[in-house]
Amino acid sequence: MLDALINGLFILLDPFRMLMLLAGVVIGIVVGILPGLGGLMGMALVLPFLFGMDPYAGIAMLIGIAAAVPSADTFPSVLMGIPGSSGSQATIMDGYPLARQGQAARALGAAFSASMVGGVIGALALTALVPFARPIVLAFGSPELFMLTLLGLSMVGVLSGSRPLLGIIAGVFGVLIGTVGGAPVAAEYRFVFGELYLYDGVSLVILALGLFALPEIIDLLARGGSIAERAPGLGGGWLQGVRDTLRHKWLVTRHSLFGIFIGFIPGMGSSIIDWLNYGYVVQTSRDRSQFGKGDIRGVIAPESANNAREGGVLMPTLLFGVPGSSAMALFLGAMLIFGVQPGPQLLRDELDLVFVIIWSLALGNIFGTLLCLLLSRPIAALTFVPFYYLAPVVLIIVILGAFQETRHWGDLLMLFGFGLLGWIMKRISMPRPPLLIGFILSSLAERYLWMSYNLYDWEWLYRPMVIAIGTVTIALVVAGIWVKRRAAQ
Amino acid sequence: MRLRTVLISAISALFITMSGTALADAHTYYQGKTIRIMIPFSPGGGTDTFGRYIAQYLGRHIPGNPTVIAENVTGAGGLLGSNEFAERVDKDGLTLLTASGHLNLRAYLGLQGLRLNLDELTPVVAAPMGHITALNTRTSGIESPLQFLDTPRRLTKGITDPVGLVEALVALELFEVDYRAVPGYGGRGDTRIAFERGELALTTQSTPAYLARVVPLVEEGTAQPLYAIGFVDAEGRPVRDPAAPDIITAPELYEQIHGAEPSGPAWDAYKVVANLVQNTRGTIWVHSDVPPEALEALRIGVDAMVLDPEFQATGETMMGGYEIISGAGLDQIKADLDAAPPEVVTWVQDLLTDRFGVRFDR
Repeated sequence: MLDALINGLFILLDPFRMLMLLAGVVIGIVVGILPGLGGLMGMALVLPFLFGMDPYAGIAMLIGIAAAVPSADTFPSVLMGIPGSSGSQATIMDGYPLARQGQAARALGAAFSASMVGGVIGALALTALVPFARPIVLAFGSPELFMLTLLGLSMVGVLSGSRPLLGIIAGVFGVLIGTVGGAPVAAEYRFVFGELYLYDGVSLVILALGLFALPEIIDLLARGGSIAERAPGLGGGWLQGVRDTLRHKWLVTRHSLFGIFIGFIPGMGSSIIDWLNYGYVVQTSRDRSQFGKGDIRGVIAPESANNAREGGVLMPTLLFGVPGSSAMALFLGAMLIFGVQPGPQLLRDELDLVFVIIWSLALGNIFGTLLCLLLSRPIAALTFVPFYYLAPVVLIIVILGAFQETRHWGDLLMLFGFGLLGWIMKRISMPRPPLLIGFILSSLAERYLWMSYNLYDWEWLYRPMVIAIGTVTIALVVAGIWVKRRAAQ
Repeated sequence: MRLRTVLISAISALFITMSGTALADAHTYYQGKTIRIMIPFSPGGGTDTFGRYIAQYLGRHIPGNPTVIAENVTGAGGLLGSNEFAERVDKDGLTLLTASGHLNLRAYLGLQGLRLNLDELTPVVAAPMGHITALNTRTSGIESPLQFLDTPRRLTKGITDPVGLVEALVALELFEVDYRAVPGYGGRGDTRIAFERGELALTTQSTPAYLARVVPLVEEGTAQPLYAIGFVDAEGRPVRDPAAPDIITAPELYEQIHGAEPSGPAWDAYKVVANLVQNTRGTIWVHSDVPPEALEALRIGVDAMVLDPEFQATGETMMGGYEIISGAGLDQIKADLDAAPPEVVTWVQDLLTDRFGVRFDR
């Protein structure tokens, strides 16, 4: 395995391949910054060029995109409170308040350095876990996955801050929105009203853009002035952010590992990872008073996880040919173009290729975050520009980001509908993250519950892992309530 | 006598000129034009890869060298893009559709909401792909395919979208075996993991996926190939899957178990479904009523493309051991469809409706 590790590096160090890796990183940064576009879009853009390309170069480019997106998508999340891609929604929670306090550069510095460390830990863990990947992936059957969705739903309480009841209502509403479209376990379409557009259900990208981007744009315009309410303070630069990351090194490590772990399990989807991590950091912190108001830990935790996750989702993709995320589904298609059939035999026969992928991931993360750090100073300055100069551009980008989902006029209708909903929720201080979590987990919970029952009747409740995850969920909720009571006293 | 000769020569002269003009038009029809190949699925899937592969090479072989672009028009499991192609594009041969075998099957069965009608389309080029059903020996508790009908435990079969698994489901009907359907899996990859985990006793995978990911389990001793779906020739005899010639086909296994060839409505359906789904797993369609010179030019282009060594080299691994279907093979696909007895549609519809609640328009 050590040979393959070194071989992989030498294969990648070819100038053309490195150039392609860098090209991938640059594309990843561009699509990451643009709200609504993500790794999927970036990979789709380069797909036509892959035919006839050197396979290693092509794979390095694709991995470069996958590695750079979760770094770059932090820009809009922190600077404007707009989710840059589905993987950086949770960064908004504390990153955006920091930007409004004039500390955008610090938040970005912390996010990128955490991303870099997370990405490298992701690549390392991928290397270390290669021999154990199969048993871990196979340990999670439908009953275990169902329990994980419950664990995710239990985060709704924590993410509701001081308004648990409104949060739970939002969460339930999210679950309801998640039922629109094709039912997961029957050939049945729900709430589609005969519209073909609704057959696929509501798009997460449009929902997130509507809930977070439009209300923010409206309110910023109504308030006038710039995004940052205060002038840049002393010590608020990106170096300060890097120091924050170093200070919280254990947090970075913990969330990187948690990110990989969730990414590893096929069937959970990658968009829930940053929310789970955000919930986890809030739940386990003693002092929670600053979360949601600009706590740097709320930026570091999801950002370390969302870069590390790319290492995790690669595993089921390579080993089982089951994409861990939508971008990985495209990566899988690209592998077929190069004639590579993913599967366990890859680890036996093509270990070099596996290590080219891992090296690309590590180097792509380093290049990507360094480029983002370089860009963070000038881009953070945007938060001090009067917003009415930026609004038209931002609005157009958001609308285009939503419209590229299916290029159907329904996309726009949905965007504005959810924008209105988000604005109302913001006005009545109803927390919006629970709605997203409910939405993401809705069909997963339904699917895995039915599958568990169909496979094992009620016997699935006695499986050891089910009991273990259930216990952890209950413990986290009880501990959360207890910590909160004590803090209140 | 003289008059007749004159007449004949005049008519033949007319024919020669006419076909000559059609040919000449075919050579110029696409000059300076752009062909759009619509792909109603998201980028990266098997059908998308096939569509893009063809788009990459077709342009340089069609007379006049048109630009060929592939465009994903996604939504509603392929319905949005297919309906756009069926109803809203100009029938000038400048828009083609990439369909999967299962999309073709949906059109054939008349799935609710899909307005694609195969009778009005002509295949431009197609690619086959077989499927193999495997058995988890631990979960099912049987060792040999011959014990298939006397499984001691519950035979669990993962269901993704029932229409997308139709060849596997019709094969199970052929054996009249009692199985428990577990719906909710996202795709064949998910059912394969569940199979490997031991949740599912049966899995049907495309042959390349079987060879890459199920064969290691067979070597490990946890799985057994049960049967290949295979193909059926014009005389109704089973044909082995060319990518897995060692694995017996479902009708052959049936004969080994029962001592007689399969017959009845399930077998009639099997013959149609196995060929339709597997011969057209990637198909590029054009409307039949486009100008004849466009059809001619496309045919010339495809015939030249399949001989291009670069095209063959790129496709070698991608096609997973199957040959691209062009020329006469395409006529056979059309002929198979025309020859399919109409009761098959009703029988398959009833199977999918009664057991899985799938609804059809006709």
